[in-house]
Amino acid sequence: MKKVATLFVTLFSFAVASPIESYMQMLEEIAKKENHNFKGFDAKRGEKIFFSKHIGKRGKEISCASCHTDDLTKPGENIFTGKNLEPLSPKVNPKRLSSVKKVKKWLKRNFKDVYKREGTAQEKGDVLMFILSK
Amino acid sequence: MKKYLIFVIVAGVFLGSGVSIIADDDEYKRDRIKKERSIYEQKHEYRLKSRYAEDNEHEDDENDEDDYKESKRIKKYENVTKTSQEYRLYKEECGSCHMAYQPEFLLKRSWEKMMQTLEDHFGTDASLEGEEYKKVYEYLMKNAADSKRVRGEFKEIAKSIAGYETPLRISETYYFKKEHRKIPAELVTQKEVKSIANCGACHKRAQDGIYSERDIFIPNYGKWDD
Repeated sequence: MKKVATLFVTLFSFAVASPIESYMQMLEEIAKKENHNFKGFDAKRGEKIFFSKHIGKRGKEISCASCHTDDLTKPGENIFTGKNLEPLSPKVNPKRLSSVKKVKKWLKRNFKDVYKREGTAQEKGDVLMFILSK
Repeated sequence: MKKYLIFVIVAGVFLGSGVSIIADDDEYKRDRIKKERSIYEQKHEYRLKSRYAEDNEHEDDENDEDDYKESKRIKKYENVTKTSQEYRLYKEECGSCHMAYQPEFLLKRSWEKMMQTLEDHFGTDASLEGEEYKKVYEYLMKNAADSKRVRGEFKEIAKSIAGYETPLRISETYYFKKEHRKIPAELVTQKEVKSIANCGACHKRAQDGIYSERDIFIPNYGKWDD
């Protein structure tokens, strides 16, 4: 009896989830397969990914914050082209994280720009968790 | 136990309907914003058009044939690119990191090469996939300088590209270099401009495809009279 009830609740939570939440659930599935000790995404780890500096694709030491700034509620600027960036925080900019297609595209591109490789499912989830928390 | 299950189901239905109402509301808002934006854009376009029409009327008074020619050219240009869906996609995809340079600036072979090297796009990953790749590619091919009749600086730049060249930077073309040769380097490298690729920093109407001299304003310098 209890099992039926839990199943019902889980199914329901899937149906209600926003696009970004379903995407993160998908990432979670992959992360679990890749790392057996995985216990859910962590905004703290995401924060570290966001702020740690690396020699990026252009040979210059950068982090995500180089363009998106230290305060995610403030607009940023592409340090190479000078183009303005809208704030990353969904709280001040509701357009952010509203399209999974865009989230995928930019996570792929920007990981390559800063880390010179694609992020793992866990890293992507952690960063998204961090952005959602700001 | 039965009570518990019933409670869960009732709560679920309640929550579900609440959420779907919120979702509907969001969609409604989005629709409204879209509608308002398109009305705004139409008005804006109308304003621009009537301004050029006025320019044409005053042509005799001012006796400025160049201005007349230019306004005609601008009108033509606006009709071609600004209204299309493809333009919006192009601007969205390419214009999120830098100015969405008009495709008319380069030849088909340059855009071809550009689209094949997006993974390393001047040191940045700008990769595109699927439908977006296809649409941007088609837009560039359709509007490249050698795909249609181009005028003004677009024509001059295209003319100055040698047969053996496939420039990826507009700023590498001979005409571009010639036109910018007198600008002191520190005006280009200053933080308000950053690089010669940042057209809009000085050409105030660059995004509209207008690069005429009277629309030039260089930060910390002012109007540019050649």
